[in-house]
Amino acid sequence: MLSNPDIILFAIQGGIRLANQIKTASVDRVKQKELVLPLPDFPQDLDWRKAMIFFEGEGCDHAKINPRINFLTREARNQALKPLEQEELIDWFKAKKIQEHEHGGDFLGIPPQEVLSMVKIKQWQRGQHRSGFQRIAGTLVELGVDFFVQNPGALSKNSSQHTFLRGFLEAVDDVSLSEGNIGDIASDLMIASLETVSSNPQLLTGDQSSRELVTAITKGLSTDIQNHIEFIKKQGGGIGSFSKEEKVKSWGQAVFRSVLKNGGEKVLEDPTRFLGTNAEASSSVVNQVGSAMLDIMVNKVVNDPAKGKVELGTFLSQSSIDSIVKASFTAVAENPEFFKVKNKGVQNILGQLFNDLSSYPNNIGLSILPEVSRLVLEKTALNLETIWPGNTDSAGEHLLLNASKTTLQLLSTSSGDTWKLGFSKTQAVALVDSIVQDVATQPEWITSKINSKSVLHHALEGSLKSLEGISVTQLNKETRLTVLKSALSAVAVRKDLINKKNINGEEQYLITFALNSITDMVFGNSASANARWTLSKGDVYSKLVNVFLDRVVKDGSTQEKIVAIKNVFAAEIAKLDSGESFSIEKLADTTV
Amino acid sequence: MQFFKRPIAIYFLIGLLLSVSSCAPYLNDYSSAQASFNEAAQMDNELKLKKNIENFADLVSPESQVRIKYLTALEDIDNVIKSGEAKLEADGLLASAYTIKALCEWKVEKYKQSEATARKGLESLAKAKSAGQDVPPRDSAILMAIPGLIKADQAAKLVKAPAEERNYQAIETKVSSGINDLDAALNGLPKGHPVKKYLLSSKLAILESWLIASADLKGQEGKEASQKIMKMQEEVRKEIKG
Repeated sequence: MLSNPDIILFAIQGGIRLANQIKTASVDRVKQKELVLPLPDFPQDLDWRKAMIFFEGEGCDHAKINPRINFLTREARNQALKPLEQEELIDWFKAKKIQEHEHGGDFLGIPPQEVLSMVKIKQWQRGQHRSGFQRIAGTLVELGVDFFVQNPGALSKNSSQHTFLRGFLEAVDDVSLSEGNIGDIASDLMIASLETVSSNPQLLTGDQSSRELVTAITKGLSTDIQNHIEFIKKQGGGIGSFSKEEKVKSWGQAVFRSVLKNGGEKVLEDPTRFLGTNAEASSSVVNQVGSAMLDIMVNKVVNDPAKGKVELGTFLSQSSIDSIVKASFTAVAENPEFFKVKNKGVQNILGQLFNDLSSYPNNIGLSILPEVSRLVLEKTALNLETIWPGNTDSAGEHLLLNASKTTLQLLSTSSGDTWKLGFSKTQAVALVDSIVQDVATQPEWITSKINSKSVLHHALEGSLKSLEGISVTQLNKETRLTVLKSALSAVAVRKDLINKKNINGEEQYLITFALNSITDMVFGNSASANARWTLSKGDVYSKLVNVFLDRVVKDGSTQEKIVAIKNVFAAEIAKLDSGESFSIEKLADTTV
Repeated sequence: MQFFKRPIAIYFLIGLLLSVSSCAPYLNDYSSAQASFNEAAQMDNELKLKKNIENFADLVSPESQVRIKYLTALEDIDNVIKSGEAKLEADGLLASAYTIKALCEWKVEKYKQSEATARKGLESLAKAKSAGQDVPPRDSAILMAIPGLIKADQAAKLVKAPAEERNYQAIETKVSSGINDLDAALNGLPKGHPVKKYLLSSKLAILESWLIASADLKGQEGKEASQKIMKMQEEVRKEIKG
């Protein structure tokens, strides 16, 4: 049995050995860094000599068929060109040679991107192939040491941090990341994960499921990040856009934090569902969320009035990402079999939402994208078969996406170049929430069509039409929202309210006619000051609308019935002028 | 006795790790100097290839910006070598440091110093080799090529001079010598080494200077001379494309 001094000595020796390994790994890391080699100088200025050599060599065909070029070239070779002729020869050169200057000069016949990549050289020694993991081990060790100094208890083998770290390192060892990417990607993810686990220790226990989860997420996201970077490089002809690559890494880190935190909660509640026997299929379910999120952040582009075309990731905060990721996991958790098969399920939903919402100018749609995504995904979670009938490869057939798009389209109004949502962001989201809930339980709102437009479209259009005539000073946005909801509730029972009739020479929805009837009594020219005083208050008006529409639902929704109900209400409202007792509740029961 | 319990040993271990790992700040300085140099070289190359010109700041000319960056990198690497030569040598980084320094000196036209630094670098590599250490071919090739790279720049300058100051023979001599230096460096590299393409590109550049200089030769003799150089360039391009 070791004595206590032995333990200390053992610790010292172990510390020294480990320290040496760290040092060696650090030196190795430095040695492996690329050196950019500068090109030597060479004559680049365009002068008559360059032009002459071109027409004697590569461009000799031009000299053969063009007598003037031929003459000037011969004169140049005889050192007999006058200054103006020198200029002329240069002009001929510019006309005939490919316009290098528009595309960046090539390097003496070698494409510039090829040159820029060939001048970045690492140390290269035959026979010394080291795995990527070996190469970045130095970096990861340093990061780990920094972390564990602050959290010494975490070094314990059974701690969640230790388990997590093991899972992370297994993933990095397994993933084939390319030379240029591995250091940065692995380091960034390690930092993100250590910080996430530290601030959410309840997420990960020391068990096998936690480790498998960390491994699955790390593998998936680091591969995704690398794929995006490689794509950027390919688009640039092999030369990456440094700033875009840095953005991808930064967003990858943000998504990783979110997926680890929110995925941890969901997946570990029921690990067999997610991390079952088929490891590949299971991990694809988990990774689908991270992939989808990163994909829309990198690939969806917004037309910002100030910045021009900018990736969506620029606009999303960590909390927005968390909101969407959490909701995505909810959707996946409730329907893992569906999302296992339809690996693009979450991506399709998010992609379609972005396409629908980003079309609104001034980034109106983008500001509510996280919230609307959350609503749609959460409801998708609970009602998948109902709200995504038909072809589930097509996000366009997702009923809730349709519903949110229809709602927001109709809520947005334009006045010249200015677009407004018509309601505050919170109110718009609240309405979408309410509608999405209705559609989830009653899909006919979307599936049932009249003149190729959904019932929801007609109901909203008709209701909003009636509000157009009332200014915001007369009726605030909150009350308008309540009126809208009441109108939709009425249509939910009486679909014929979206029938159109010719009333007083104008084609209008019956719901519009019904709402206008109330508006007329309170805000119309014939409305008395007393009526307006009492009934225009937000809560009172809302109540009046509710009762009126309730009567329409009960007594009949024909034009004649609505008129009859209006007359009854008008008689009661007249009591406000005569000083008699007045009660809205009474109107709920008065016979029409 | 509590002191000897395991958590305390762990603290001790970590403390030791920290103290040992913090003894290499020169590595950070070296990395930083290399990063500075890489930045300068990247800008330099982009300027030559007319890429990303819009990213250069307006107040100072691009050429001046590049020169300032090289001067900064030179100062940085010089300081690292002065303060940590022994450590660099022990860790096998001294030749790389000399390589960066020689390249910086070349770029700011301190040609004599650059050649002297290159010789020092080659000496350190020879010393490492005789001590049984691995000699990285990248640094060895670049250090050998330094005289050739210097001559490439000198030849370009001679070619850009006004007509009355140009001397074809002088340029031809400079270029031939430079090509010999570059060939010597190329021959020292293992097959397929990535530095080959860089050195071949440099050869292409020095041949371009020779080609433009040949425009000063009159008549058929001049034309034939130009065409001979163009052929040489074509062969180099073929080698680069592999």
